[in-house]
Amino acid sequence: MNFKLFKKIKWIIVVVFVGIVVWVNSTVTKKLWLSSGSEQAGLVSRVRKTSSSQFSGTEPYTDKRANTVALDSTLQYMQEHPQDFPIKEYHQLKGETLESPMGTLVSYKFYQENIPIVGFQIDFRVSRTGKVVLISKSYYPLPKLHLDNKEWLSIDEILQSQDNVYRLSDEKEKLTVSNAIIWVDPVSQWAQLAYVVPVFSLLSKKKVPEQAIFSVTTGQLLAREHSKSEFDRFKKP
Amino acid sequence: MNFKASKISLFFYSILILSLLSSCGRLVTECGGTPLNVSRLVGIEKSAFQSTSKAYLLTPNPLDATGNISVQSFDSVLGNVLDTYFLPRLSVSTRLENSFLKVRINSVGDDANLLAYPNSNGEFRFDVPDVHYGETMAYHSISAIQAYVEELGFQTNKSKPLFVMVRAQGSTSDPSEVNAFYDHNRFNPQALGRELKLFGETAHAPRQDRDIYWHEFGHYFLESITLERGIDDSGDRGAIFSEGAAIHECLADYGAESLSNRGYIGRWVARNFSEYPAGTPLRSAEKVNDDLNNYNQVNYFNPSGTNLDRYRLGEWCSRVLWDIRTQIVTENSDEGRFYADRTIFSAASILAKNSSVTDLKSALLQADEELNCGIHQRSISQAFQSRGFSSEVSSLQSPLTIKGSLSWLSEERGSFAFNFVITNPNPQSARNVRLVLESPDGSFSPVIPQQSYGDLGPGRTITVGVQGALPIRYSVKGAVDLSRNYRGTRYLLKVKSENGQETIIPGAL
Repeated sequence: MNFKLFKKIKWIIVVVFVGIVVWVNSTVTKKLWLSSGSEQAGLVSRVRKTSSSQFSGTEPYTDKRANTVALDSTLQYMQEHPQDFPIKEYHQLKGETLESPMGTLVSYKFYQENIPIVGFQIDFRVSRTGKVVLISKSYYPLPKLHLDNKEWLSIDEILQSQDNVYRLSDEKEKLTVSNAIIWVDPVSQWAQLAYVVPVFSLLSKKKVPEQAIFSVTTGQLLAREHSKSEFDRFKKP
Repeated sequence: MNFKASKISLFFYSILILSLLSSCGRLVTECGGTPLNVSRLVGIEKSAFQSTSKAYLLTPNPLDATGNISVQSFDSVLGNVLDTYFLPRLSVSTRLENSFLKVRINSVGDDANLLAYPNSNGEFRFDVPDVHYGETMAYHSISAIQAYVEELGFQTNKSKPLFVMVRAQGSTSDPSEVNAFYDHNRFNPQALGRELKLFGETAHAPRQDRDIYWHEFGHYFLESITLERGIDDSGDRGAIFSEGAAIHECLADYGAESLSNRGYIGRWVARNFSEYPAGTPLRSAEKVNDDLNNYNQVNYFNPSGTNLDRYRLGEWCSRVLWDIRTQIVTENSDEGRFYADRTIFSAASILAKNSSVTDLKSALLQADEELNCGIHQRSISQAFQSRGFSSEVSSLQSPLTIKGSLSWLSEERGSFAFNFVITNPNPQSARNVRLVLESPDGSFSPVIPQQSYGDLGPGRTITVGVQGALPIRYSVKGAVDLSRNYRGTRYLLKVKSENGQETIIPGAL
């Protein structure tokens, strides 16, 4: 070898060699990763085509802007783990997705005959690599409720039965049976049909609006959702 | 050894070592988040929106804009110093609303003819005291922060609109009473939308302050990115205090402060409260001489209940986040603040139901790992540690004890609560002590199912409902149907802490 020539060009060789190594690490590796991701996408496509679901007849209806790939991934996850997700055929799921820097957030809310079941929710995160991660789960196989509204109390009757402790916070708001929900306590596993009523509590000195949840059949107070109120604790100058 | 041969050997060993080094570790492209469009973020930060609709505002508010701590909204000089802004995403040029954001004055159903309308030049230009100025500030402020979080990569829940009432009525008829309410309506899927209501007609009305809108948007944003799973479920359901509520306030403050690039919030609205000297901010994420810098000062239970205040723990929390942000900005002065915000908000998105400070720290570490290759793990841990919080706490040797009695609430038909004393018999502190009420068979409803009391020191007690102690509203609460026979209805009282065994007390009505 001509050592003088070698001496002149050796650093060029080093730079070129290191550059090749770095390029291989970043580019080729990335391509390999993408191809494995594509395989997963293909798997999701196959799941979508079969369309049959353990949630028979209750195909999740989705916002048209939703990430259907993420929805399919999470549905498949639930199908593959039926012991963890014993979802009844009479419960409908509505899947919603939100994109975030850490992947796609997927939330399933539940309904029975189009009445929302408040207290049931299953949240996932589908990471940027396609991995499905369960964030939280609140569901149990609630027996099917009878939703016959013939014996439901009116909201006026309910407020009177509460000794008028509450009054409507927005008199103009039309309150009908469409405000009905199925209120669930997932810890103790009981549920009741309920109204959600925007009220003020007359027991409170500062009338902070809230949503009161009353049983439609007995008028019993089940829960209250409080507003976030910023300045209750301050005095005026 | 032949000198030339040794040089050749050295050369090839160098190449070998360099190639090995270049294949070690992880590339940011593999383990980090997608790069941010920094130029667009800077543009949003400067409110450089493209629009034909012009507005005139003083941001963030007249006090911070002029630097005059004595300024009031009706000072005539303010009309001469309004800045020009462009309003993005208006559905029509004559209304301050779009498909998601709807600005109103009093209520959701306001007559459109009463709302702000542009002048003959198509400009939304009003005097600062004018309610229409407040509507304009509302629209611009919320549009700006909405654009910011979207550019960071967060999609928000727009399935329902956000109604903003800048001078709401209904809960109080006193115009000097200042307040701000946010209703996400998490329990009412059929609600018309989310509602943000501002109250008060004063010389420093909330509607004139961008800080208020950015803070309140933070509540909506947090509920949205957590898919409304209830990171403060107990607070939503009436708990006086919870760590989830503190985290809510913390993140809402942080978002407003970070986008402002200003480590405090609320100098304008604080002028309404006698506790704050003129020019003092409502809260500050930057260290000041107060008792909110160390976790021990804000989260330990004391008999007066001073620390059962979500804003105390929330402000401490915002200082931890600010410390993390400051470190990231130090590493990257041009772009660091955006990556800090993305990391912190991403952490928020994976918080659990009824979250705690412990959960927040874990989420931050996880978000940093997934978005930044974990290069800030030490900074994050150090930020918590330096402000007195360690997630490594000793396990309690013995469970907490509780002695109590049931008390029917005379003012609320069919409702009951508990007088009790919770004791920590251990030489260690109990972290995040909570009292939980459960109905094993659904015979009564836990209306306030959980209350939190912070950390309980060794040998200390929490007393509620006894004369001289905290009032009974700090207790859990249940309600029965009086038309049914409720005698014998079973309940479970549970005392929980993060570092101890649960104490379960069964009972019957």
